[in-house]
Amino acid sequence: MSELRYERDGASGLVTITIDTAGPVNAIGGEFVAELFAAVERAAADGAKGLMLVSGKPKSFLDGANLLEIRKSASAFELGHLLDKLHDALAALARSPFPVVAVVQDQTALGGGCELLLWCCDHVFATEGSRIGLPEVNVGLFPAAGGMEALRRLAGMETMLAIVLGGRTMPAGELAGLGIVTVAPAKELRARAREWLLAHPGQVNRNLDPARKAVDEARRGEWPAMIAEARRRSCVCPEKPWFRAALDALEEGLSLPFEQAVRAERKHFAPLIEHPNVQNKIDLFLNMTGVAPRLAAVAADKARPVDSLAVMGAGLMGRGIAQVCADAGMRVLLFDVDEATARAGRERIGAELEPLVKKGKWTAERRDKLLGRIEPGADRRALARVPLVIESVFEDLALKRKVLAEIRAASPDIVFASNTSTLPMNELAEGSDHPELVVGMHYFSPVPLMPLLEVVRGPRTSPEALATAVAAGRRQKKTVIVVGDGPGFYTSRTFGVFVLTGFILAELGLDPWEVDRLAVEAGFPQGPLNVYGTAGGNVIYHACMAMKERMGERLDVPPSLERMWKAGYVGAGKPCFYKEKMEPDRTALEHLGRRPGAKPPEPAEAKEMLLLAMTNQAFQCIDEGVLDDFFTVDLGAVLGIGVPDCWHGPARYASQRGLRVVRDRLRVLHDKYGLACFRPAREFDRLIACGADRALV
Amino acid sequence: MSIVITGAKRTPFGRYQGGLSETEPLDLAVHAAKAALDAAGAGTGQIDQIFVGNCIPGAFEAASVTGRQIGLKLGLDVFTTTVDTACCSPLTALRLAQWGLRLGEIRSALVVGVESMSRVPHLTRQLRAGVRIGEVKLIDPIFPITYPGYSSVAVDASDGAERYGVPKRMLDAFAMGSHLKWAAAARAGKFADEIAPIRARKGRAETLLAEDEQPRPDGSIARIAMLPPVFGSKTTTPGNAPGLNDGATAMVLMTDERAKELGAPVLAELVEQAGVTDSPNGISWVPALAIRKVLQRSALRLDGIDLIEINEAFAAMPLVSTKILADGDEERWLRLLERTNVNGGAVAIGHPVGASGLRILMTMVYELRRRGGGRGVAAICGGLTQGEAAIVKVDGQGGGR
Repeated sequence: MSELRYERDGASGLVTITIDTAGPVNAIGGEFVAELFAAVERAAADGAKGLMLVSGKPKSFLDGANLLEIRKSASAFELGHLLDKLHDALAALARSPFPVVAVVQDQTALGGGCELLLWCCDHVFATEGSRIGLPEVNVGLFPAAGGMEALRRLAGMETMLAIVLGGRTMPAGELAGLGIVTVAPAKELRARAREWLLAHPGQVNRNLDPARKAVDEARRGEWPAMIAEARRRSCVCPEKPWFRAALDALEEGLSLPFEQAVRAERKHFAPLIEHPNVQNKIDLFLNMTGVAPRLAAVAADKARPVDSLAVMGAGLMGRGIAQVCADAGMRVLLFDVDEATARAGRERIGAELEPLVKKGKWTAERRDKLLGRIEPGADRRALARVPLVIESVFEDLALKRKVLAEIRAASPDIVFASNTSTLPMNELAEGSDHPELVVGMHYFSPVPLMPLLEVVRGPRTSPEALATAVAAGRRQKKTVIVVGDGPGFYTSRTFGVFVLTGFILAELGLDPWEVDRLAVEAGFPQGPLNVYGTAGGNVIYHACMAMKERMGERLDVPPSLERMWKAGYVGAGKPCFYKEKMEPDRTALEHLGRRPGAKPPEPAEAKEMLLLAMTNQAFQCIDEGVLDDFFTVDLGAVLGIGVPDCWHGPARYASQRGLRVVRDRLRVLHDKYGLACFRPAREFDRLIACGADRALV
Repeated sequence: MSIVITGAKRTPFGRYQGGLSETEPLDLAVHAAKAALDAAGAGTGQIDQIFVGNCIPGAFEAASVTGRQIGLKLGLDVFTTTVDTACCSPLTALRLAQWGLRLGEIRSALVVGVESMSRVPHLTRQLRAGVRIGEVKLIDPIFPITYPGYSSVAVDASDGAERYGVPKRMLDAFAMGSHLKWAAAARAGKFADEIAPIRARKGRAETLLAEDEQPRPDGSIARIAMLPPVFGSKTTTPGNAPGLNDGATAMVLMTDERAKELGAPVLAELVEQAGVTDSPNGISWVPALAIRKVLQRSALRLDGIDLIEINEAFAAMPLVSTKILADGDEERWLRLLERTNVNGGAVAIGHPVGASGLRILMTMVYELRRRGGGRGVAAICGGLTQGEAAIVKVDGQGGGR
């Protein structure tokens, strides 16, 4: 056996199976499944008194399907076959005459690994830090190895739906309430597991026990309504077929016994792998882990060591940056207008972490260590002690230049990173000493949750400054992309076009709330007008104006944006498109203009306009030298600015439609609406001339 | 008098150490030649001379008079000439045939290009004198492909792209485009016109190869872009270069009168050829110079040319050369690119160096025929910067621009 180790303790009759598959994490592929089945048969033949599953990998218990393997063949037949075989193996393990436990020691049991616990294991012993979950929907699939059925019985329909459809992963402690997980210190785990096995001979698998009803059996009558509600929430976007498939499978299984219900999932599950958007999701996941770390190719040896740094500005962004730095073990000098404000900033970070500690997601120790690494400062001379300062003051060119000058005075050769979202590095560095030590580090809000960091290389930025910024970003566990200089760089500019296109659609006569609904239907996490309020109308207005000032007629800013802003419709406590609980605020209509003589676009065209406007903007960024490679295009768009992940990003979206089709559609839209965002980027012409009508990424 | 092509065939091109790697290059050449002769309906006694282009004779069992070896295997006891002008070889051989035909010394010719890069032996000169003590150093003549005292060709290609402002992103895009165009043409069955399927033995297996082995249309520009540059170049990577390949190509040429006498099918007229040189590092742009010269010799303008083939020795060659031909005008450049290597090129199909010249010419002839006629120009660069170009014309309703 190459992926499992089988050991039998002669004295106790207990069998231990150690999972250790090829690759850095344990994953389920054809070889693993065959070996698991054989191991179960062998244990039965050996007359095992109990079976303990453990992992040979330090951080991974068993983490779902081998995505590379299933993506490579991308065949419903082959995936269906693999799933059948997995069902066979898990069924054999569940039906075995001996009790089965798993030991999860500071590891992850995700997807199929979690399902193995839920279906086959009579009990699970896990450390508090272990993480267990069903994130399948994040790769365009759903748990089809008994996870939904078993979890529904244990936790109830509502909880199961929230976990499965949310693709959630939880600390083991959160699952302790289910009655099958015991959280214990690492050194006790195996002994307790052994005791448990010896104390429960002949344990019948709970899923096969006809006497055991689902925990919410009493609410059986409400299940259809719960599923209907889940459909309403999850299946809005037809481009994400995995949600529908999951719910169809679930519904079909409700009237069937456990194993039959699980077996019936195959026909809903296997065809997913042939859907291009599922392949997009899997590819995106693989690229995030496999390609992203190799993307920002900088002279790593030139990077300054970033064990410590300074953050200038303790506002929302500055606090977020300080937090992720300190959490990653970096020492942070936190500055604001004065020491009291900086100190208050640190306190607020602590206060904002409190709920996480209370919920058990964070240990108090982690928070305390983090806060201990943040030193609120008053004396700017301390800047001379750190290699890098990240400024996050108000978005105003004059202010940022003033801050830069002050910082230079205190520390002449510090690398100055600006967390501006729109202002070009070249303008920022203009007239300052050492313009080569100015670089952009554009974070996304909320900083601790958003995975992306856009590092901006100005025309004068030195390899040293660039490498230092990238090194700091990697240290903060961000996915780092490097882009060229320009107004709004890549992400702000493309995000801006999304919001502006939303306004334009409304000006063309579409109901603004219909615009948002269509955007969600197209796969966006939020509609553009909703985003205007949630991201903050003030921020968006100023960002768009800063870009407009520099881009001129390359950017259309609809008059309604200014009118909304001037009328004080900016969200965040002020009125906007929505009231509480997403109730439309129809008074917003008073501030929306109408384009004279405009005919509102058909729904399909409106959705396409949102996607094409962003796609075209990304390609215009290539024209202008802001972007150079298609992995950066796609990862930046999905991780930073909400381009629907089912498309993998603008480059894949264009590839799948064909560049000629995209260019033709852009021309049609440009002729029809006269908007700069639809003037086809020159890059389309170049790629088409090169014969590359698709296969960009 | 005009010169016509009455037969044009090739083997599929094999991947390095692939399906053709254990087949003798002599057998590849004979296979392609037989297929071309059969297609032309040319029997014994109907070929007056054989011209062979080959670049690395060391790959043969006997590295001499390759042409005569081929002729004897074909049963053609006619005079043979084997030439080496690196990658230009097969088109130079074609030009020699053209001279003979024009001079009236011969009325028909068989032209062959052949290369087996998988079979190139490692070399040492140490053993001739004997080794008394110490290591024996083996040289690999194809790693990298270079000449003493000069940069490797990978570096020259990369420098040419830089000099003419062709960004790496376009090199990679053109490379991916080559695979995609090949795939579309292969799906449409276009290569059946030119490929003579071959039975080849590799290890214990004998297989029938009917398709080029190297194309990888499932890749992406982004994947290609991740590959690191090679041999100290700035932008040349395994992704925007062809592999090291095996294959053979052959054409039958005749005067139009001879073709008429024999009732041979006329595929195309060979209108004109030209050879040029430039500074030794100029391989990426010399196809443009060759095309300009051949256009001038035939009093044609590029506007009158329907299809262009520029061998993808690296993706830089077609990009740099068409940019020069467009006089740097971007719009014109992109329009030229759209009719360059329309069914893919060496990056996808492979580049058996001494065989490709005839491959690009025949690919273009068959494509012109499918399009109902027209004119095409094919050009190739050769080591230390020589260039060959040829213009062909296919009569038909759609002929000429």
